[in-house]
Amino acid sequence: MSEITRVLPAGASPVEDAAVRVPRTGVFSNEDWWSVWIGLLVIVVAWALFASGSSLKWLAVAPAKWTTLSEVGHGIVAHLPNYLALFATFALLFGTGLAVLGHSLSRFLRGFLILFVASLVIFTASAWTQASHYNLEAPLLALASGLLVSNLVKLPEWFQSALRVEFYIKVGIVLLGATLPLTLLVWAGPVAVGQATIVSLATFFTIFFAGKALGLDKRFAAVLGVGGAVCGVSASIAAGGAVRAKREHASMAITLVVVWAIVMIFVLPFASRALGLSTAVAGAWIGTSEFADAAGIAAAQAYGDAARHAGGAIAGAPDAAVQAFTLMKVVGRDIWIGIWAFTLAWVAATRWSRDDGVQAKADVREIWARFPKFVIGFVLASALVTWIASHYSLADYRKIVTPDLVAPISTLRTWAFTFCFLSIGLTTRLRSLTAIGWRPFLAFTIGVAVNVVVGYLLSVHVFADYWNGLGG
Amino acid sequence: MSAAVAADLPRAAPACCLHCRHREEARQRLEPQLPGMASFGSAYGATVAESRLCGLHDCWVSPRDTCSQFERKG
Repeated sequence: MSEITRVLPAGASPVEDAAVRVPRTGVFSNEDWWSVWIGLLVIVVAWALFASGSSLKWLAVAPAKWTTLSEVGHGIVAHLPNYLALFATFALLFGTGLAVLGHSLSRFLRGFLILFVASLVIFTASAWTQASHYNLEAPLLALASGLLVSNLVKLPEWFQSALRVEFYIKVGIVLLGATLPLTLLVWAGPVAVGQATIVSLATFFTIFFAGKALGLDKRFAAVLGVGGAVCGVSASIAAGGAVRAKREHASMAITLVVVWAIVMIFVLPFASRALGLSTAVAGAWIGTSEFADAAGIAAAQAYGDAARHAGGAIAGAPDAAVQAFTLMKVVGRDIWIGIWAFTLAWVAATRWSRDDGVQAKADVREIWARFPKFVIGFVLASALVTWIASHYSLADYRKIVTPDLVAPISTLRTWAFTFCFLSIGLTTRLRSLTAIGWRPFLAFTIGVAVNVVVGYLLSVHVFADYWNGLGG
Repeated sequence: MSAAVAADLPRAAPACCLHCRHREEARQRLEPQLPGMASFGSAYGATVAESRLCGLHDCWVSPRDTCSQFERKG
């Protein structure tokens, strides 16, 4: 044993809290906080320009509808300075955050340039007037093409630095807050929490007890259960950390979440359309039954885009799908992850024995530590734009505020989501996922079935009126 | 454990995972060790908090956790 080695007696117990000074994590210490600052900065700048009689419209450029390739070329050339400025802005904002978090800035910038160009291609393809005829909604197109590329070609390591799925989706969700009135959030929030609580508990206990019945370790069953019930990969990590799960168990939970989340991106919008659901009700169902924020936004936006081009065949405002999804998933499910983690940590520390000698105890500070901070940005963005809008009549809001303030923010949000959808596909290499046995697969799949059915019943038959009130 | 080592413990930082060399502190080490994590999650998200992987036990640990195989960081 070296001189620096210190050994505790076997059966060592957790040290006193006061004796351990864990370095404090500040408001620039993770992607959640950075997404809050980036999202709010964009909104404040948009507001400042709007208040001074200008607008962020020049920067928030997107391909216009087109029918011929020459129109595409003309559009890109005509707006080249705008696209360059947009790239520079996103590169600066995301690059700053990632550099502070320890990423290599040069690797990120090289990768992000490719991601930006690929996103422009996806954006342009989905702006084709015949795109909806071929189901070329931007999220599905980005996801499918990303999956194809990453599973056929080995992507260089430096390119991976730009594929920050969670970062992009969190910034997008904060920007989404600017398009969702706070009054709506207050009105629908309790319904979202109620519905999400029922489904989350049902899903967790189904997976947990199915896992136990199939002989899985309790900690593993808990990680699987929270992964299915709350927020997918993030929840699996949080629960894994809380119960001190084995790495291989966390890996298997992640694999199951990734596979089912991708399946559901395609299945839920298709099933919603087949069942004739309105955009808001479908969004609520997707919010209840998808496993990851990014996957759910992809599914909800795909359904909203389909509604936009369906000529009235799908009821409801297109944006209602993403709005209902976000309320259900972010407000209803995500914000409780700290509570789940603390509760499971307490149960694991006091009830579940372990044989590797690691001694742990539940720490109530985990509730805040694991809280998804981007939700704060989402609510603040909603409050700010609601306050700005309160100074206008409804007619002036639609005529002035929407095109000059809200629409540019929405366009930037769509860009952030497109970066995310492409990154999902480009980071999902199916061969690299951890192999899983049939027992965890079966336990998780039983939970998926319960989740989908209960989520459907609550969204479509119990709370449909609330969800349709969003714009259905 | 030798008496000298034991005598050092109260004066040194507590013998917990925070100061153990087996706890892999760097967040960037998480994603390569958990395939698929970057697809729908992130090592840099708030939900990870201070949880990190222990290279010895191959499991998640928190800074205040302890075990009998503690080895102080060099």
